[in-house]
Amino acid sequence: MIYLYKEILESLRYKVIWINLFLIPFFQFAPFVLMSADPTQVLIGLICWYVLTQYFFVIPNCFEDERINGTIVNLLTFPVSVVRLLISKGIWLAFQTIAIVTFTLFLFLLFNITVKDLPLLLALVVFDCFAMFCCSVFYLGLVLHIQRFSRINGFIQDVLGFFSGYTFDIRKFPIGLRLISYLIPLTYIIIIARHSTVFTPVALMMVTILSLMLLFLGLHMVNQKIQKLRSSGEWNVW
Amino acid sequence: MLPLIEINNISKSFKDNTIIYNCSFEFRGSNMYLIHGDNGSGKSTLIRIMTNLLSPDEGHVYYNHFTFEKDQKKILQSLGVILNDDRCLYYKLSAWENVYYAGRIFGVSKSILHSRMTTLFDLFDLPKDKTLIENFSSGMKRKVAIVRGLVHQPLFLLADEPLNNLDEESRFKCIQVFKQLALNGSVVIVASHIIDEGYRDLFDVILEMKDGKLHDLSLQGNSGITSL
Repeated sequence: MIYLYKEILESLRYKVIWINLFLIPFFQFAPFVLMSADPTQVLIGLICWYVLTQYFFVIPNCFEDERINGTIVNLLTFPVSVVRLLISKGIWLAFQTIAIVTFTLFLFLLFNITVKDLPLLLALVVFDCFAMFCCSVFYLGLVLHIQRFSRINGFIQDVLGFFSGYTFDIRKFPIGLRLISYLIPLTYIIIIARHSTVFTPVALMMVTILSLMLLFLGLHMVNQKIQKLRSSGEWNVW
Repeated sequence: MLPLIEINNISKSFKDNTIIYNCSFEFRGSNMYLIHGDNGSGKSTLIRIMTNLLSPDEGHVYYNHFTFEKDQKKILQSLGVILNDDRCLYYKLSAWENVYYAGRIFGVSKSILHSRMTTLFDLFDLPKDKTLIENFSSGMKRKVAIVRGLVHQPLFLLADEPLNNLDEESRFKCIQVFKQLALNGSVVIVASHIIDEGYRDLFDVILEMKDGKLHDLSLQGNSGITSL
């Protein structure tokens, strides 16, 4: 809780950034949504993908941000576990994301674009936050081991969005490409969100299993890298 | 049983440069140690190894017979660290928030933490308002870092050049607070390349970092310390 308290205090001090965060999704999605034959379906896909982008921007860069600020040493000299640190960031990010998603949906409402079952979509966004947190921890592990992954973060987000069918139905893909789609947790979340009358337990189970696998693998990679950095003295000059 | 830090055959090199070589020493509770040495002698490297910011090439560090490899959380709970880098403070938090955060992380209860923070903030003339650390001078940041390292009354305090950027009065207060901590039973280790004549006698043991090893100057009969 104390770490969450610190995250909240720090975040709320960057006032102008909040205006940015709340308005960007609408202006980013509006060209695709408003021009689409089925704007609601496109909006749903983009909202789910937006959650991915938030987690992929914050979690994989969290150590780099601490390093740039010089506060990375606190993580090593305070009795805080990396897991607790990441979960605190994930929780605060979930609150932010849900608030921003709700505001964005309200802005689209002004253009008469509505979502049939709003509470269900918001519940799914919460689940999406959990799944994307797991995926982003895995990506953090990759970034720590192979720094180049941090440079292609934006590209990876777009690729994952594309293959998960954020603006279209993945059934239009050839079978080979569709197999890639089925490896991405976001694909199932978008399928569930779009076909909310068919609440598929199988899809939820697939997301949970995939996400947890990625989470545990990611945590293992993160811990492994921390040990290696410590022994090489890289924290000192990192 | 008094707290104890043992460094056992510690060696550390960076590329082909040996900084510390086969260094062993025991730091006992209720003592305040000064590690003195020239720039580049390895004082900061030793402190970083002892605080687990750096792993040695050889050797081990024991805190009451515990090691970081096996009992990391237990040691960190009792460890206070003051580094020679004020960027370790959170710039978007105030002095009070920085210290409060650290105190709560170390498990100090809210009421005790509030009382200790008030005492330390008054002692070092630190503001308790919402002024962010980014607006502080380097001396003020250093004082906040010192208070943050002390607030949980660590059993083991390691300070790397804590007196840099402090005015005369604050330096004296800092050493006095460290001394009080040592008198309460903690192990206090201060690494500094300069120390004023006036406070030298407050240290129980003066060590010199030279040729990769610690030399107990009290055994050698001279201090060899540069005064201000």
